[in-house]
Amino acid sequence: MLSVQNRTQEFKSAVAAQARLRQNAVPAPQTRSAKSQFAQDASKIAAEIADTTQMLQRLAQLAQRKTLFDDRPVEINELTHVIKQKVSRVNEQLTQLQQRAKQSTGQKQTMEHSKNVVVLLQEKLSTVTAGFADVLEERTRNIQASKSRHEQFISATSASTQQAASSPLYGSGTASSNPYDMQMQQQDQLSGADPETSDLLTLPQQDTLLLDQQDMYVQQRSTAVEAIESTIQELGGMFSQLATMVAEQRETVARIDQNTDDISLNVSGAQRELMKYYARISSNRWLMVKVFGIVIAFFMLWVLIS
Amino acid sequence: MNNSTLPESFRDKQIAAITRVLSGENGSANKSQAWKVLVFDKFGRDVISSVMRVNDLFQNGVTIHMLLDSDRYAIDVPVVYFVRPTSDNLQKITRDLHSQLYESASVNFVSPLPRQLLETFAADNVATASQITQVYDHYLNYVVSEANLFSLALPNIYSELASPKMDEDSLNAIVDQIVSGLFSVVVTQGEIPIIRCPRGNAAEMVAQKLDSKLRDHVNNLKLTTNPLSRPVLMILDRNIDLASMLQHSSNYMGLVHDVFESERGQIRIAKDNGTTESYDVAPSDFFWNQNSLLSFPEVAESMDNEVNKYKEEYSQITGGANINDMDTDASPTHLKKAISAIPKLTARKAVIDMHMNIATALVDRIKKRQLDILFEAEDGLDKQALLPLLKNEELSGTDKLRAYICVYLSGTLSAAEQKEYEGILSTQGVDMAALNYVKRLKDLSKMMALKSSAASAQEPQTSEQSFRNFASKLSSGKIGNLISNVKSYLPQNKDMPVTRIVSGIVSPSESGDITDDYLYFDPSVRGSSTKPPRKQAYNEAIVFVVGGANYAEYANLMDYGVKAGKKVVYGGTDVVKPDVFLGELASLTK
Repeated sequence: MLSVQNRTQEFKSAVAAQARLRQNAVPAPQTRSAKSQFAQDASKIAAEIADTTQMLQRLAQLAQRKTLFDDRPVEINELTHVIKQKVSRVNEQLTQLQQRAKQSTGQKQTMEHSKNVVVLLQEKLSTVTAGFADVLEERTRNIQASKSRHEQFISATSASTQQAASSPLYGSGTASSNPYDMQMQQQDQLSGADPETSDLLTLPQQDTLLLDQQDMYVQQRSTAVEAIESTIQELGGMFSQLATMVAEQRETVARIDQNTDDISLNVSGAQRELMKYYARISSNRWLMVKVFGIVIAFFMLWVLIS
Repeated sequence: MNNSTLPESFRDKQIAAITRVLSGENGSANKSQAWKVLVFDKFGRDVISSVMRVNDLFQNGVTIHMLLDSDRYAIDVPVVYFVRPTSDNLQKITRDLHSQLYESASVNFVSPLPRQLLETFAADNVATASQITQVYDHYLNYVVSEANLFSLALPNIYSELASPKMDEDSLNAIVDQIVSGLFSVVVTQGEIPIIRCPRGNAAEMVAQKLDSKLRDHVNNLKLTTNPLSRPVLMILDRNIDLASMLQHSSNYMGLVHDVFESERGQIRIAKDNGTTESYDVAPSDFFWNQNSLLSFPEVAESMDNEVNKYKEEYSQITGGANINDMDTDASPTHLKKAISAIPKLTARKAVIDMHMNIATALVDRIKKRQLDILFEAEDGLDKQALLPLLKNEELSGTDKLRAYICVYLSGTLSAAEQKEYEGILSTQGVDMAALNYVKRLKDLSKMMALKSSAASAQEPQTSEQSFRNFASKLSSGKIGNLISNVKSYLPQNKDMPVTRIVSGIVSPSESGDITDDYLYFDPSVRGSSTKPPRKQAYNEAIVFVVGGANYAEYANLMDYGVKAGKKVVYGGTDVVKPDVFLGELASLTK
């Protein structure tokens, strides 16, 4: 059963019939004045957020893959980077918009509208940010899981040949291919936090070429993990900032009829106050007339006597 | 648990319909830009505010909502109007359009716009028609106050229909209003129902008109009905059971409605110092949805359970956060879990606290007005219980009169007792006008030997009711103390007259002869409007009472629905507070 009835066509044809009936030229539909700067900015931000959401979906799809081989670290890194930039840019723009909404003067309703638009945008951005953080976390977990699989495999094969760690081949090979790797190795060795990683460096010479590639791969992955972790940290900061912004904006479960009641209450209250004031003024006026009359009377009396 | 376990309540259907109003039928292409303002009249506001909160509007992109009557200023976003189709409202919309307050307008009516008004509206807006993106008729002119309880928001229908001053025209006007609202309910419900109603009263008129209206609708839209899922719509008259409108209730919802000001999910409690405190029961309020139909002692018990559950979960979270026994690996995940769990817990705490406050205020009133004792005395079983109540000068006159009328209608009082009790009441200066009307009605129905009077008689009870003992526990004043022995004091469930009629129609095998001569309408069948009723069982029932609904019957019907495995939706021209209904009765003899 239809729970709504569209009568737009009926209405339009009725309008057309009326227009014909009147014969006179129907005034051309007035064009509204252009949208305000605020509205334009707001819709630009909204479009940007929608864009980011789409990218995020793509990233989530990529990050959820657990296979070792069909993994596209370059694309993921690029997407992560772009989304990160977008989110921080939107965040900046939103702060500006909020500033403008606060500073602008106008009707109370217009102000409230702009305030609520900002809040809605912030909410949307914060869900996007939270989703982004989740995706990244999942990515980290996946990488770490595959890394530990890798390590198990490699440490089993290389347990006997520890001495190859100082192989010149190894050092030059990695350094040329990936500038981050040297740094990584140093860090690892310095901190010593991950003994299994240093296991990796012990490679038998005869397998160097093959394992070199694998090793590069692993190192790339750990760079990726680091990058992601730092991104998550940044996001965390942004997220908490947003959360406080949203939280201070409004209480979530207000009643719909509450403030509309308040409006009529306020209106009638204002009218009552005005009436009171009017009454006081008019009584003052009578007092003035009386005082004036008495003064005149005394004046007349004085004139008559003298 | 009664209604929360049902797959889709009537309220869900209405919320879905309202969401369609807000989102616009065409489904705006770019959702992120779909900001709009909502403008409603008072009726539209009541419809929306009873099922939604400001946050729900936000989710639908509505940044501000305003009354049509209030002063409004230009905002450069689209506007959604949700108003009744009156010429006054249309003029105001026209004025908005001419002063170009909003970017574009979607005009939605709570009930169908008459053709004539549409033409005037079109004539006024020849120049501004380009601003109007859509004109929609909806069928939403009713208020849903609980999951399966609706009201047409038409007050004083009982007294108007029963009034001797009623003339033909105003009677027709009232019946038309009722039919329009009921039609909307049927449309929202989604299937063409079979209509049953008793003979020879206003309910029959409503049923006939609704039948022909539905018939037109079916013919216009060439609808086909699925005989298996068709519900039965029972249109009943208030006179079949007046006592249920006046009796004191034992369930949470009924007590709140009787004792406090409660409207559209908002409960206002007048404090002794002259201030009022208001609490908001949202449609998503888990505690209310689970417990509002239970009797008050049960509510107190589950309140205690909830508080304990909350404390347990809270200590789980805070206790686990002890730094010493956390290993470094688990700490971030644990912390994250705690952070996401805390807002939920806080929200639950707020709900429990709110109900705690309401219940505490309620216990106070129950003690003061001795509502528990009145409730017990109203069964008419223990006539001795009534006498001390009537003599008690501290109780309010209306409470005593309500109790007495209930006992009187149960028909257990002898003539001598009646005289004695009424003497006591009138010496205390209680206004007996309502009683006089009830007496006249009873005489009349006795004279006409209508079966309705049989229906209003209470069935004898065999169970012992120890609700009074619950009162002695109340004297301690603390909810926690109520819990100890509460289970054994629960009032026995019994079917009220309306519930008996419903079960007689819904599952006719166990039907007595009360409902056999009820009229039968099937709007989907062409030709004769009344056919001899077939004996047929139904899975869904809509129960509508012309003259006012009450929470006691709602609770009773929901209980029946769960037990019998049927889906029951209940409603009336209005949901009437017992004291207000007493006033309606009294006004009829003046």
